[in-house]
Amino acid sequence: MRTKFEVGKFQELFENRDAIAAEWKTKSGRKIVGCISTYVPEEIVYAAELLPVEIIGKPRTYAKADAYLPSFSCSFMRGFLERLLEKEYEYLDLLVLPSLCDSIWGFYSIWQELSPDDSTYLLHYPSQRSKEASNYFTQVVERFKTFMETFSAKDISEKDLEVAIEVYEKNRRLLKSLYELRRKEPPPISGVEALEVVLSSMTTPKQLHSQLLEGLLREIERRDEYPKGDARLLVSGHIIDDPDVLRVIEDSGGLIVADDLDTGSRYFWSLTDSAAKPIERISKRYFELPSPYGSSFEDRIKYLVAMVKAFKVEGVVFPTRKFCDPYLFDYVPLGRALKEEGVPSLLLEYEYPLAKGSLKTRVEAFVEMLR
Amino acid sequence: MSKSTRRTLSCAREVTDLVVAHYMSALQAHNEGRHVAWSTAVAPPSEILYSMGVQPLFPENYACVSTVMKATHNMFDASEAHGLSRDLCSYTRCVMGSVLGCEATLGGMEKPDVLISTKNVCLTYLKWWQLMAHTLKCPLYVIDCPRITEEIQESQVKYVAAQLRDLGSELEKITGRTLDEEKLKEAVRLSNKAAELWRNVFEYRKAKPCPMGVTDSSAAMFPMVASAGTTEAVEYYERLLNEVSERVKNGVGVIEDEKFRLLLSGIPFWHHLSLFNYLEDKYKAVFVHELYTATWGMASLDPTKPFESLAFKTLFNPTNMPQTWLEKWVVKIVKDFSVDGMVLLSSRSCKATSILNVAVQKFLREKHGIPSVILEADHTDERAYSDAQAKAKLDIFMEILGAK
Repeated sequence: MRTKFEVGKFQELFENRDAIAAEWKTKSGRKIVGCISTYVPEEIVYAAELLPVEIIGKPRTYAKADAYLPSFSCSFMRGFLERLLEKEYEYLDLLVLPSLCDSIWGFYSIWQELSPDDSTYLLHYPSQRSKEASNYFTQVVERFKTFMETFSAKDISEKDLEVAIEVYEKNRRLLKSLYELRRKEPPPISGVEALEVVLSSMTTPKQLHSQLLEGLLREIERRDEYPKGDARLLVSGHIIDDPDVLRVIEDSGGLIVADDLDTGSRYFWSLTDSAAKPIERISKRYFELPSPYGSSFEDRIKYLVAMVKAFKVEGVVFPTRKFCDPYLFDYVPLGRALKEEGVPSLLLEYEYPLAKGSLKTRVEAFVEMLR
Repeated sequence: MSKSTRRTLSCAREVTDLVVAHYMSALQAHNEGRHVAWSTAVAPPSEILYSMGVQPLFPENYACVSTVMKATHNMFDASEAHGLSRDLCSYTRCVMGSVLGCEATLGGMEKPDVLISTKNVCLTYLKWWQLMAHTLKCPLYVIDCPRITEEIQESQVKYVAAQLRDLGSELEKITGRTLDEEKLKEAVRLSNKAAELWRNVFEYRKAKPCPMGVTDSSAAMFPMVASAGTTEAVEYYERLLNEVSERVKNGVGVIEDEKFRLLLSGIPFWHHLSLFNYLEDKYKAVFVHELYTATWGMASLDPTKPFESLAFKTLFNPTNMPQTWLEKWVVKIVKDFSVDGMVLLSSRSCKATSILNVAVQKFLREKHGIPSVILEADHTDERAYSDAQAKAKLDIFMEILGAK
């Protein structure tokens, strides 16, 4: 009998990520590295034969974290700290944080004091896009490689890096193929499902994920029921580590067909430029991501508008955590640029516990306006 | 409550005039065909700007002045109507109101020809400046600044120095003036001199009674922010040092009967500076040091290496240093300045100066036995402040410190 690849498999992968990681660790005897995956060159971690996994901040409470971080730091870092203090992340051997925002810096600064020496690595992420900054970031990535070699007790050769790039590019291409199917009306996959595919890519060993994704791509268009919705939406913003956030939108009449999320297209859309040396290929790719952390507004607008057009998007939702400064700032020029393009948008601020009722009301009103 | 006995320093009284002159100087620069730059306020490359005849203005200072003048409300409204969340930096919301053209303090800031930002304090510096550049259609130059995880590295200094050199070349293109390295060295020498004098003023605050409190210090830091690299700043701090040292020689404190010595962290709540009077008047409690005002005199500069020195200054400020460094710094101040307790001001819209407060309070108490209190409000946005609540918290804290 043929194995049936269901999209539900990816939800399972994501939900069982802790067990999968722990099993990988037992089997391989190698270390696991927690990352903010979109901005940490995972290829280097992979080349060191370690497993990079996206960290998750979805909280139940903040009881322990409240002793260190104030309520106005972002709930992602507060939630992640809670999990660390609750000892839910004992399988992480190293934490690599890119220096993106003030909440990450605050968290890092405190965690340095609470954690054993050398268990956290701050990776400088440049706040501008000059040649100077590009060269410096290549040095940063070089130093990160040297650090990983020591940490993993394994030399990383050019060949290792090339292999790692190939593994990652393959997964990126597959994810892109899946996203391309969402251009269709209706798309074969919902926004929540697509998010689970991407989130599981960030937490599952890459080759396993690619293998499952190939299966999904063979099957997905033959699924019996396509997702339904009253308006084709794009979601734009930061890390969404909780599918419930998008579920609220899709339960309110929205059909998410594209995104500009850290846990979405930004994670895999751009590929490396094959002409350069491996380390430069890697650093250049991460350096050039259109993000709030150093790109111009114009670059972000260009990317967003291109996505809106390519996926026939009728409206854009910005699901934004309260106190997430970078994305709250970027909403201002992005929302206005969309308006100029004639595309309505909605800033959907949220905090935990999710106020699902009022979020639904807001999205319903937005979708109704689009019809 | 007893009447205020505060003896304001005459140098602190001068500041109002200096502030007005500063904003006028931008107008004058434009009249003379010189350029105006809006720059972030913590370790900006003022020395480069002054050496090239470019007049810097500091939006953060403008927000502070507007708050003291109680003129922020319509500016907040304009920003929020434009889409800026009320949780975002209140300095930004204030200045953006003016940028968006609403009626603003002093008729608004003189428009910039170039914007200069760095991330050495916060990501907000980058986002805020990007938003101004986008709105004003003005060129923006960003100096990328690595966070310090242990010690400042040579490679980090080199990187920032290279960008400062680039900035110099960019400014040459924008202004049509050349960057004369001799003039820059002189500006760095003057800046270093002013910083040294400012640090010496703090040294005198170790005296009992303390000659200068937080209100005067918050005013007197103005030339450090606005005029680093000028003769005027050096002369100002020479006068201030004289005044403060005279007081110490004669055993004169900023208030009579000093009883408690406090350390302040965070940006003063500019809309309620009267909170400091409350501590002075009711409890005879004096702030003998502020981490915030001290920020502007941290680094020693070597005029023979102007770019490297300015790079070091950019990197070396408390918000760019790790918590472990901050903790050591605070413990040393507490000892050296005979501090009884610490007041940590948390501003909900300023993560950079506030995010560590809860942890710092815990570490100070548990590891060093230093008592502290956190007041949570906002440095600019009065709507997030309750005077009664702040005073009640201070009452409890002073009781813990032993006030009767």
